Amino acid sequence: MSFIARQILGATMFNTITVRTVDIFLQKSPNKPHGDVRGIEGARFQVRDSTGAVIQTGTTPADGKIQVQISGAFSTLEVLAGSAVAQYTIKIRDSAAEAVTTPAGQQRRLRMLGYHIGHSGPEGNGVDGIAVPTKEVDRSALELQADTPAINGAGQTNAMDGVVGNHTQAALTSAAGV
Amino acid sequence: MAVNVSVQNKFQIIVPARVDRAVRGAPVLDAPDVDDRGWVNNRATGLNVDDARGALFGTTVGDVVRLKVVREDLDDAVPLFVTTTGDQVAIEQPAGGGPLPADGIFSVRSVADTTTGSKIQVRLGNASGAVICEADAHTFTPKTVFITPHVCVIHSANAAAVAAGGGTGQTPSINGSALDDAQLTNLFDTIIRPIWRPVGVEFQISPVQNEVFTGNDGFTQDNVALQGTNQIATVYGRNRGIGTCNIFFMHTTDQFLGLGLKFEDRAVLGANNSGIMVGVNGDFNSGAFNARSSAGADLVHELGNDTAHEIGHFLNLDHADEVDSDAASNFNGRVDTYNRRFLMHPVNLLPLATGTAAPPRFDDIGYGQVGASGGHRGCLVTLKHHPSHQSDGETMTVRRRFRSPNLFK
Repeated sequence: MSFIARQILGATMFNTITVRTVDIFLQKSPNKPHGDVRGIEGARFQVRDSTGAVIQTGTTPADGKIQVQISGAFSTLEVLAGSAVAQYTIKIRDSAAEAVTTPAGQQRRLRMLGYHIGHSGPEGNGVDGIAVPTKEVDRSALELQADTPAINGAGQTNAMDGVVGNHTQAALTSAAGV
Repeated sequence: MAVNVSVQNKFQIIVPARVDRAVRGAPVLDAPDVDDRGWVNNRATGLNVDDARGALFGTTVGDVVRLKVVREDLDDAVPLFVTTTGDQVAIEQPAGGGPLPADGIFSVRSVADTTTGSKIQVRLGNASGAVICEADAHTFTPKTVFITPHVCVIHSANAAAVAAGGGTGQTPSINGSALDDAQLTNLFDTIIRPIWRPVGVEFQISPVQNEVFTGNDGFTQDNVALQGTNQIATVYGRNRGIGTCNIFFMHTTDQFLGLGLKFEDRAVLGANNSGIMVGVNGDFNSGAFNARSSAGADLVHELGNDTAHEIGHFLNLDHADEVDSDAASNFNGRVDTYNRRFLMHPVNLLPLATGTAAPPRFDDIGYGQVGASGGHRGCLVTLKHHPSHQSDGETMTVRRRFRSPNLFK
């Protein structure tokens, strides 16, 4: 529970309530849009705080972006599908991202970009740091390479190998911003 | 059950689902492979254009095929529906487009080969809900490859001795039974047609022609074909079915298990015609006969895949490695999943890729680990044409080939 300071009657003062927000993009395909259409448009949603109270409602715009308010330890994004609900438990990870040279760092960035790396690991999001990638991670690395013009461009040879080497690490860092 | 999202750097992209092949395992006529190599479009020139990002799939007019929606980051309980755009395809099942069954499988009827782009759209909640995933549909008018199958017996004995009942050459056989019309029909129906159907290629097969080669034709070893260029020309010139693709099934081929030539490549190997050779029982290498290692249904899979692969060469496709790889001299040099998924990968029986540099990719599309040590190459004839892969866009390469006056020469 949050407490807001009270002022004596008639006095003027301001309270600052810090609500952290994160940008969730619901998309039809992974990675950052490069001027193309990827957003899931027209999805009705609501956001509940960690007590279950609804704190946001809306409909996704063309880019599928939802600025989710995180109140408390987590918020729950509910995408409304008729009478059913698709739920996403949204938490903020404040620690620095693992180095992109590590399996965990690569998985983290693939996950950030929406690639499907499964749900293993302590956070249930596929980031498990295991050196030998699962088929899902391997497939995602290949997809990232295919989706990256600097790798899958004319004249590039033997580039889509699924191995996250220097060029793929650079692509991950550039797209994820970390 | 909620999907966990741990947000790093204040943003997170969520892609709830993808469209995939409906089944795993051997090729199935109504379950085409999908070209999901990356989400980027990169359509081959000549394919209809729309703005879908994700899997591409091909079908032949009139077919009904199955596809599957895989929920990657979406609760199982959320109802999904499928709809279409354009006029190439229509949803067959479930009626009304949904809700999809628990396995995510739906079927699509291929309506017409038009110039309008068509998409499958996966929708949330109902048939007019938000589109959460798309796939790109391409319907093709069927093109027919007329096949003349030749079942060949090779004797080292001369013609007179063979005519007198001599000679010890053997008829090629599958699982112990001499290759005949019924086995060829099975080979085409179970493996070859399913592989080529998404490209819009159909086959019309003539009855088997039995051919006998002898020492007088230059053969010096029983059963073994492909002993140098003269024999290739001899075989490819034998009793050809005019206006057809002539496939010569041998007991044993020399060094290769299969050889497919289009007319323009004939001179490279000394042939005068296009044609295909398949070593049904094995190959002859370094002085030794190497029997095919598969058996039973797997042997049918292997032979069908090999024959389909050689048909790819006949229809103007190169090896996936050959044109664009730093491992051109090493046929198994590229171990990535994409390349292994290609029908045109140079090698059929592949070792498993293991270790940190080559993670467990092999069976990603599900075509076929066989035992613990290896499996078959895939059956994908690509629709996408990635700029870094010069021999890509195979479906359109093949379809353009049907315009060539040299196709059946």
